[in-house]
Amino acid sequence: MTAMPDFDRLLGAVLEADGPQSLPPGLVEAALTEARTTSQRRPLIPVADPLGWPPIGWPVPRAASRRFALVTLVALLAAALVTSALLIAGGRPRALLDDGERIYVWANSRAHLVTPDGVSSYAVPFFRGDGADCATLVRGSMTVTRGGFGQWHVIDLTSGKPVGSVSTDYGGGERWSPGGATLAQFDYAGRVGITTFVDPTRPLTRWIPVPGVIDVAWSLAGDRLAALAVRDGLVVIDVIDVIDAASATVTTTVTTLASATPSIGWASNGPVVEVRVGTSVTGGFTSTTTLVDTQDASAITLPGIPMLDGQDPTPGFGALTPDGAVFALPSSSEITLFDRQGAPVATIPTDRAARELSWSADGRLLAFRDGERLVLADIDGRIRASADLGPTAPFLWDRDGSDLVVARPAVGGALVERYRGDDLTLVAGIQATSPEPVRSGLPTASALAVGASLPICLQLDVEPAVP
Amino acid sequence: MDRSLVERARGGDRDAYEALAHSSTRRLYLAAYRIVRDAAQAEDAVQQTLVTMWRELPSLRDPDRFESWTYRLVVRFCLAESRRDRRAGIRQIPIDELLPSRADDFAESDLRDQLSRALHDLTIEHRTVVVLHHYVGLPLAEIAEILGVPYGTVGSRLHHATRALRAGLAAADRTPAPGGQPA
Repeated sequence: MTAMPDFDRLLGAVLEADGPQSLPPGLVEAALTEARTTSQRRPLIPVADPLGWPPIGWPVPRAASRRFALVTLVALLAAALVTSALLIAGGRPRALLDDGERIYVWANSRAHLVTPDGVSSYAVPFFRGDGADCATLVRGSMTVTRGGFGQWHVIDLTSGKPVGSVSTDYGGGERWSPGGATLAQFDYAGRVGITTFVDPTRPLTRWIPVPGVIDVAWSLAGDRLAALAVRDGLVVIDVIDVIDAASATVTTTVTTLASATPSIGWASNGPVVEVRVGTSVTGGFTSTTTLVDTQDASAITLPGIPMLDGQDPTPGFGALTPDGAVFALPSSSEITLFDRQGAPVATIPTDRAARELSWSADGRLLAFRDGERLVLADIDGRIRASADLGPTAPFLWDRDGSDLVVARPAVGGALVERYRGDDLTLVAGIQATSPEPVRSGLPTASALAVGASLPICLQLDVEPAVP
Repeated sequence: MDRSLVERARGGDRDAYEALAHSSTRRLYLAAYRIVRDAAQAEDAVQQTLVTMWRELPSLRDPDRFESWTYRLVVRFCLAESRRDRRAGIRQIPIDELLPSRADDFAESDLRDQLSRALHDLTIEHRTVVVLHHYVGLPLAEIAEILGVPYGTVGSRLHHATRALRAGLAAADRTPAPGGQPA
């Protein structure tokens, strides 16, 4: 038998000799070339609870991804069930809310839990109830309301008591994610904070450094955050992946800083963001829109729109079809549809500067607000239908993208309506009564319908009751 | 490893990163080759490691752990490369196996050849532990950290790998020579 005097030494010698001793030519250079075009990812910095990450509430990101997929699947199945039920019940006006489903209404500094068969009312301290601070449903009976400048409070609606709070006193700005699950804020020190409410009694904020940040925008699905920043005189975009808890910079040269005031929004639920830059000119400004693909940093700048001081309010952000083929850009008197190359393909005349542009799920129909009207247009620019909304009633496509849900003021409360998405025929409606006295003729409601088949958050900006 | 170099690279200094990449690539490549035993796969793993190194350097909390961290990355990509091949049903056969043993001045050249083949027959998980311990020279605790498995698992893998290598040598020892006699 062959002797094996020192197995470890022999094994070490085999490993040492068994393979190349030098590097293949070009190995490092190829990697460095790729690395040069790649951005660094910056991890979030824990400040509240180092063990509480990731933000969606699962122990590790990989598990979070799986759980996220599971939750999404369940949500899709639930949406499919609701849709099926609505289709089966078709032919007559359908109730938006099933028995037992709840609506939350806020009015005059009080939160109310409204059910189809009754009204419960709870006093909510701290709540101011002004405009965009419409409370956000967190989970179950928890909600978040603004408690004053620089503070949000988590309120237990079953008791009316605050159970947690978030400070936003950092000066930059704050944005709620669609659906209200997450709060983003930024400050002038170059940070973006992301607050989650997995445990509503212990809101958790993580900070990520984004030097020069001046604006942030949530993706429509609420899983990514685009941060607009100015560095070295250039506008750049950081995309923060909320699930992975990391960010990457999409370097793009949208504009120089000179006399420009950029803002950012997602053009669709895809990778494209819209950067709007207002550049001062005599008597007004020029609004220039650039579409930036956050995956490959490619950008298309559309023709600037002159806006004179004293004219209509600034047009709202544009909207990209789900397949990314057509971008609708509003100006003061029309909406222009652009193709992928940035060439105009159609225009839709409007009376006022169009706002709240949104495409149907199949990308064939564009809904937008034109003054006090909800207008529906084809992708070729033909207007199909319109409906009077009033000045403040918001609308949105329902979950399956086929109907439009509108929440509008009504005497004594608000009316939530469902319109068929292809011709704006009214197919359903429900009266949401305000539990507090509202003087006839004075309701100036603004409402936010979170979803047609889900609990609906309504904020009624009403006159105080006259004793 | 120059700590300040790591800190600068972590802060986004591309020159510092490139210096780190140049100084790390050889050790990463040699370890990767010994794990996957295929030059192309080792190159892919190292290139992915270098790019990931740049992207994720800011997440490295302790610059002193840089070397261990890079081994973790390269091992991860080696395992991924190997899994991809397994899914595709590919079995790599090193060209060395098809050639006669190289004659050299090493006293145990036949043993080396047999040991090399036994190494190749190990699972990649076992071979990774052997390479990291016997070639890179890392203690078991650090290997456990790199692989993300318990310390005991590393010890178990090393034990089974060593036993398999010894068994491979012993089996080769018993293989009849062309003349019918044991070698």
